[in-house]
Amino acid sequence: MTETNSSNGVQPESFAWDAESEAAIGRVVAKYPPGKQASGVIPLLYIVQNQMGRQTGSAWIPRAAMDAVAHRLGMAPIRVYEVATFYLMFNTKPIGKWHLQVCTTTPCWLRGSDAVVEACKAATGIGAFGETSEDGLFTMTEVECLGACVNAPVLQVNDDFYEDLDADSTRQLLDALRRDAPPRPGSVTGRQTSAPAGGPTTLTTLQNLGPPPPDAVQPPRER
Amino acid sequence: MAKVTVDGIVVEVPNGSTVLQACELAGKEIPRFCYHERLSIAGNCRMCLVEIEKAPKPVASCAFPVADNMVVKTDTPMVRNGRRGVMEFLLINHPLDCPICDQGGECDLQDQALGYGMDHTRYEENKRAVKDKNLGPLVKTVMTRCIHCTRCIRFVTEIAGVPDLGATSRGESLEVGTYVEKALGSELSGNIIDLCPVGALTSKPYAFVARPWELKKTDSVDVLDAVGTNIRIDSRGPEVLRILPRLNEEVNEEWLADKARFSMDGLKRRRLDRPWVRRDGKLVQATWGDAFTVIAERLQGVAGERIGALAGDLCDAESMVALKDLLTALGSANLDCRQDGVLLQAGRRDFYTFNSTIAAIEEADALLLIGTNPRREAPVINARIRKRWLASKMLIGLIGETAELTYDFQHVGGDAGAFDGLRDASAGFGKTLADANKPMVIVGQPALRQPGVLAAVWELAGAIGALAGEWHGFNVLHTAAARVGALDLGFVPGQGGRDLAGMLNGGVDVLWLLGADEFDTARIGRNTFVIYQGHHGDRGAARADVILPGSAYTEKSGTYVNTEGRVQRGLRAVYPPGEAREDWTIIRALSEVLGKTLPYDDLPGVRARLEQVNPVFGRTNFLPRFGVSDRSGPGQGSGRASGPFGVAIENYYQTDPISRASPTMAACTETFATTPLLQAAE
Amino acid sequence: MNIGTRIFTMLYGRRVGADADGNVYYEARRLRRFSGQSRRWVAYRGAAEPSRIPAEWHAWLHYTTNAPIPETARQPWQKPHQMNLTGTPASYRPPGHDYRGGHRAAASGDYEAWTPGS
Repeated sequence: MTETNSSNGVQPESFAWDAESEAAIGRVVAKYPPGKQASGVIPLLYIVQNQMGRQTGSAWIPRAAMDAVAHRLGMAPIRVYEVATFYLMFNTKPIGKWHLQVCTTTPCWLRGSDAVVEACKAATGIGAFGETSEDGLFTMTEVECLGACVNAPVLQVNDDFYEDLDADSTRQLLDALRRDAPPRPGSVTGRQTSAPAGGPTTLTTLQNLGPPPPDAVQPPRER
Repeated sequence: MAKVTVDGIVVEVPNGSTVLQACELAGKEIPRFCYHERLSIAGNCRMCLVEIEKAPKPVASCAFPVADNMVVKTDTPMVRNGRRGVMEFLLINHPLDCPICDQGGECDLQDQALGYGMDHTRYEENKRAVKDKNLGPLVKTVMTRCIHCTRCIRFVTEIAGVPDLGATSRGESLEVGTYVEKALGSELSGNIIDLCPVGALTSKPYAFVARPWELKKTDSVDVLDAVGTNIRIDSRGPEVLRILPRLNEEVNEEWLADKARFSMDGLKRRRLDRPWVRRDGKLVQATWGDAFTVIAERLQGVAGERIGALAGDLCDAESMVALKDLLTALGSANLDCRQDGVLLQAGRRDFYTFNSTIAAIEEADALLLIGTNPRREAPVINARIRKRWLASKMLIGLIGETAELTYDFQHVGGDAGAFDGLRDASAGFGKTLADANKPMVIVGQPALRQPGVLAAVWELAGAIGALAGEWHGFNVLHTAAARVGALDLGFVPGQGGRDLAGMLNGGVDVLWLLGADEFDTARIGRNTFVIYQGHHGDRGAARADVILPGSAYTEKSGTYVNTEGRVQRGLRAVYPPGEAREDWTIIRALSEVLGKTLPYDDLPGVRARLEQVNPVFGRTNFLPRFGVSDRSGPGQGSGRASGPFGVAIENYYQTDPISRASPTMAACTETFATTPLLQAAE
Repeated sequence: MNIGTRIFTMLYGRRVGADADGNVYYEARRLRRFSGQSRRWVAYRGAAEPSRIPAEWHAWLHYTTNAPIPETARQPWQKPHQMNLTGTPASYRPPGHDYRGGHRAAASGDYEAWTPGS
């Protein structure tokens, strides 16, 4: 993973914090006692990644930015490189505007993540994991369990989860993204969070009750 | 103290020790890769597994603290199986290239695989391959062999203080390296070669040169700086192949500076291997007899006070005492060893030695550096200072040219004018020094070139309480390995004798340079007859009228006194090339031709004479700790200190005839001349 | 061939052939009593030097083959036979030998001597 000075032409020469990042850094650094600012390296790297997403549409961390983080926190640059390369959520290479993170771990795989992957490939023209589509809009990566197994298969787009996908709904989702109109995150089948797929099987009566009036005292319900 | 039973042996270890240390104390050898006594504990190789009673599974002993009444077993089926499993994991991705690996024969993995390795592999998958890193001209990398023990990372971060190495990425793609390609900007970088338990980091100049079992190992002392690092010279036949550090807790622990480790290829270039005599303005080859005759003829009728001698920076005490005796016999008191013009006098020893001792740096609680950059002048001592600074956040002040040191310091001033400010015990760094229990002052050579600085620093040391009955905090950091020995022998102008400046510009008719190359030879008078005795063709040899080929430090058994005043002996590893001889024997042979035969003709004889001149030479490898018994300072001298001190060493890699002749050091100069040594950022 | 051998050859020998060097090979006309083989010998052209016998005739002479291997059986890669030159002026001497100028190639253990002006 060594970056050589010459090999990677996409590395920008410099990096400067914008106002929004500055404000966020102030909040993060204030959380740590003096001399322990290095603990803020992960939040700061996120701030960098968000800023790059805002500014260039590609949320990644250039090396110049890692140096800026190191300088800001008074640590050796190599310590920042170590952290940034360790966590897969930090992108050390430029990525597309929409980062498609497909979960292919067993539960998602059993529920049809292969179809989601194929749909992503067909819709974006990406050939394999880790690649970026030619129009620069999509990057597809393979991730391990995202912790949404109940709603498998799941696709994480940037920071949002889209659940209960199949080939068709994936295609629709990607079309929407291409139009720059991301739908509401969550289950695409419309189920409430991770409630049973066919609708609730318990507490069914609750569905019909609206929010109780604030002053009303609910009588104990009969069985 | 905790009582721990290791395989039935009961040992008492301090609370907070690790199980591994308890096992060591009980005499049980625990295999390990990542654990190292002088580095922080990582616990990531898992090779040191032991069984602890009531623990459900084997534990990594290096990272497990002892508890009272713990029962440890180091040789049970569970332990053996665990270690075998770990070894199998380590070997999954380790290449089977031992026959072409430079670590072969001294490889921890090889040795331990003998004990815990399987006779076959159960893996059919391809091994992973890792791109090699370029860490500069000293360290060669074969990163596929790396087992990720992280010793090198911890060394450069903790000891060398140049955090350039790290482990980037993770899992299968974890790599040790610099991420951004750059050379390791540390003067101690060679030590990661010794630390690496496998062949991932090996010596670049020594690549594919020899196998360890072919080498003859000779104990010696390094002379390229004044620390007196204990070294082991590995030689084969007539050549020195590599130099490794030897353990000496009181001097170098187990570290060795890069210049000492890698400049030995300079011992094979530009060597003086036969006498030369200048005839009609040109140097021509001669025999020893011719050279001696020419010297004897030239000395005929020259008065004693028109003869002078200058001792160089790499000389052994034997040759210096022989030369001093010869000049005394010739009636001359014109002796000098201070080529850089420092104003140190022979006589009271605590005016020119590192009195606290190197090991005592770890007791100091405030440090004042005056006109010195220990990082360049004595990297091993610098590592000690950093060790102390890390352990206690010792406050460090610097007077003189500011430098990139491996610890934080406060820049107090640039010249001798800053001394007065430090006497103020109420504020600033003066208060730090006054508050300290064991303050320490280290004064470097550039400062001592100015008149009155020695006395002023001594006085300052007294004022801040560094001169106590139990604590001697006045230290002179030398850069020349021969200097303290020369001062001990009184190789300074005697009664009515001339010093270096007095001998130049025609001050003497005959000038004997004993390996002296570090002054401007153009200042020697035009009609001065120069005898150069040394091992390398450098500035002195180019100006000489007669060249007597001597031997380098690897080629003679010599006595050296380090900056602390510790007398150490080096043994001969190889013979001098060609016609060259050991230095004191040359002087002894010439004395006979001159009719002033010196009264010793073997090494014990010379050493007896050394002891007679100064009794400190009677005790080698031993240095008593002492406080200050006499607080009266050195004489003020005439003149007044003014202007900045300057620096002792401009280019760390080329400071003496040996390192100037070394291609490796030339490559280092090229690499690091453009990238200045980095400031530790922690 | 001395006179005794010449008479012996005339009385009992039968010429079998000659090699390229001009050495002539004979075998006895009668078989030997116990071995059942005929005696074989060589008449050197010039000095008697056993290493001059080429491999084909050497094999026959030592009863390795029944008949001498013909010249035509030589392979293209076979070099012409050469006698053992050890001890003669033409013997092999390694580079750096005194008789070959004495200039030894630099070895790893060598040092580079200083010369004035360098």
